[in-house]
Amino acid sequence: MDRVGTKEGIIWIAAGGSICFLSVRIGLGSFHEPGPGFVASASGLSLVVIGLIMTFSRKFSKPSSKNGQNAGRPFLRLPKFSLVYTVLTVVGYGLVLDLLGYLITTFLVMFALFYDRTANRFLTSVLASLLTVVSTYLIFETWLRVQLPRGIFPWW
Amino acid sequence: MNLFHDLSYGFSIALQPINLLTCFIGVFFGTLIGVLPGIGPVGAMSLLLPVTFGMSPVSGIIMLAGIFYGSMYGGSTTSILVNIPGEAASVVTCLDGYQMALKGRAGPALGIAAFGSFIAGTLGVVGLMFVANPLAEIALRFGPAEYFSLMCLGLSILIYLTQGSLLRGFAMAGLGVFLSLIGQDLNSGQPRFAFGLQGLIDGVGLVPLVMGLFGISEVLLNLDSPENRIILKTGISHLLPNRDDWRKSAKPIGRGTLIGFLLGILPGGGAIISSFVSYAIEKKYSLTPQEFGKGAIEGVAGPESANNAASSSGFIPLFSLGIPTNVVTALLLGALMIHGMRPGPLLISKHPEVFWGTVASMYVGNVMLLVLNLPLIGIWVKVLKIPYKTLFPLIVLFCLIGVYSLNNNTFDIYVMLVFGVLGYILRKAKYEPAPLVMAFILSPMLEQSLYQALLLSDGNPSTFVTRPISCGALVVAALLILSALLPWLQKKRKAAITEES
Repeated sequence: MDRVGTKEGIIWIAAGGSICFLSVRIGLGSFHEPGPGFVASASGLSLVVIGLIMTFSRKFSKPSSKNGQNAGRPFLRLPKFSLVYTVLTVVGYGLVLDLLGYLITTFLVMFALFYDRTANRFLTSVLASLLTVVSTYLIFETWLRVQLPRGIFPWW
Repeated sequence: MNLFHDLSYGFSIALQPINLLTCFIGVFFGTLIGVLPGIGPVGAMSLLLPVTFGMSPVSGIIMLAGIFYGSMYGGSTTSILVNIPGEAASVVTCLDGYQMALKGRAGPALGIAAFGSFIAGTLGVVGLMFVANPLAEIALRFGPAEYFSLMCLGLSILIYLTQGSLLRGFAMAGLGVFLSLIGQDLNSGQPRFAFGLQGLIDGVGLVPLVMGLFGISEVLLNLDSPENRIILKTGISHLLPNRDDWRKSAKPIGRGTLIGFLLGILPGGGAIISSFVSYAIEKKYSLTPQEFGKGAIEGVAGPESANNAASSSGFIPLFSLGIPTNVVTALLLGALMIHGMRPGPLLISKHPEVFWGTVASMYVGNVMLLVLNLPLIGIWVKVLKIPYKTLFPLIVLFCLIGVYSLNNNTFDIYVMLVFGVLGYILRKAKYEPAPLVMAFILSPMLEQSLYQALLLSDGNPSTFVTRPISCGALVVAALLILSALLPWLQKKRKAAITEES
């Protein structure tokens, strides 16, 4: 039995079931007067059906080839450090953008992303970050008139 | 006569300095995106979508359309020189383009790709001009029931043609429908599925969703498994194909244009499929099929022409019916709606400047692309040498600025990140994000058409099967869905997709 395939099916059944539950709660309505949950319930129901097909077709089918066994298994190994690091950096950007403003936050984030731990090129990363901040500020704030946050330095 | 009058009106718009500039930015950025592996036209269009908000609708659409067909041109460069397709429609160009480059014929390969793209792109625009308007007039007779059924059919075809598991495609579409329903209900004004989050009351934004699924997730995937790019060190000279090259390529270009144009109208990644079909046909009808895969110029000319013709004809259902055929045109549909236009058969009559201005700009854009692709190939080769560790922070930053500038709200950054991580997980699990985005964009219209049709029929759902066009569309859609359950058809589909891969 393909356990990952079964798990995949169960995830869709759970997701579809939750959507159906939420749709019923906000009101399905009728064909004469469809409610806000009418279409959503259909999408939830379709996910449940898909999940059921996935679960049972995998359960009763023969194990697939070696290559096929790995399909749909995204978590056979832990994600790389660079992935987690990039995601956390973007989260950090969202957290401090309004507080520190565009120039400082972007400089810090760009430095964090440009900095190559293996090559240890500190000055190159600083210069690249500075260049990026200045050029994007000129393009977006000055030329395209995008309102970028000023943060703790409102005169910038 | 009327057509020429409309076209000259289109040129009067397309040749305005601001529209020339936006067209140039679009095709330049599109070529750059096509050249750079790791960011596709959808990601690039979503990056630049917020920039178009400050422009007139016609300028914005001209720029976004330019990115799309520009990326089709640029994609061939990486296929030929690096053996890595810049975007999916150029996959097949790798087969013979790279072999030609290895034999020291990178110049003619790049040259025929550019000329073939130019010829097919231009002829595709001519077809678009002739077909879209009459089709829009026919579509005026469609009611909400027909629209609902046609959208169901479009979605079903797209899922059917999506690479990978059909069930996964349907799951993605189901998820896309649900995500589009988050926010206020159109009829009652009641918030739904917002989970008490203020940022979700207005719904999930198209731009954060697309940027997350295509921009951020692509970055994460590339960081996870970086590709080794080996760029040919030999000089690229003699870009102009010789007489023998032209003799061999003339018919493949013609056939590729026709195949691309016809398949591009159908929903579901016309540019990609048409390039494969073109390659298969050229190989079948060639007098020297054994040369294919070893550097046959016909294997470059046909597919490159097909994907460019398809990128032009893909606009036909968008402009005449308001129904997108792939994610790129779905994004253009979203852009039209953001600019306050209602896509559909009335678009051409109500906003002739947008339709004719875009059509005329495509002629201009194709000329610009020919100029960009031939003399600037040296620059594109240098661009290819930019290491990904330098490129990805810039992609992330453009995503961040683009998404923040929508509402000046950091909530959108988190929405983008959530979809970025979700997109990464889904793609690792072999789920294609395209059906999700298509369903996300089509669902609000689908829901509205469904409600209107039920209202007009006094709540009688049989209205969808008693009207012939609607019934026909639903029957075909149902057959496609049922085929997922038939092992014989599943095997045939899998075999076709494996052959494509």
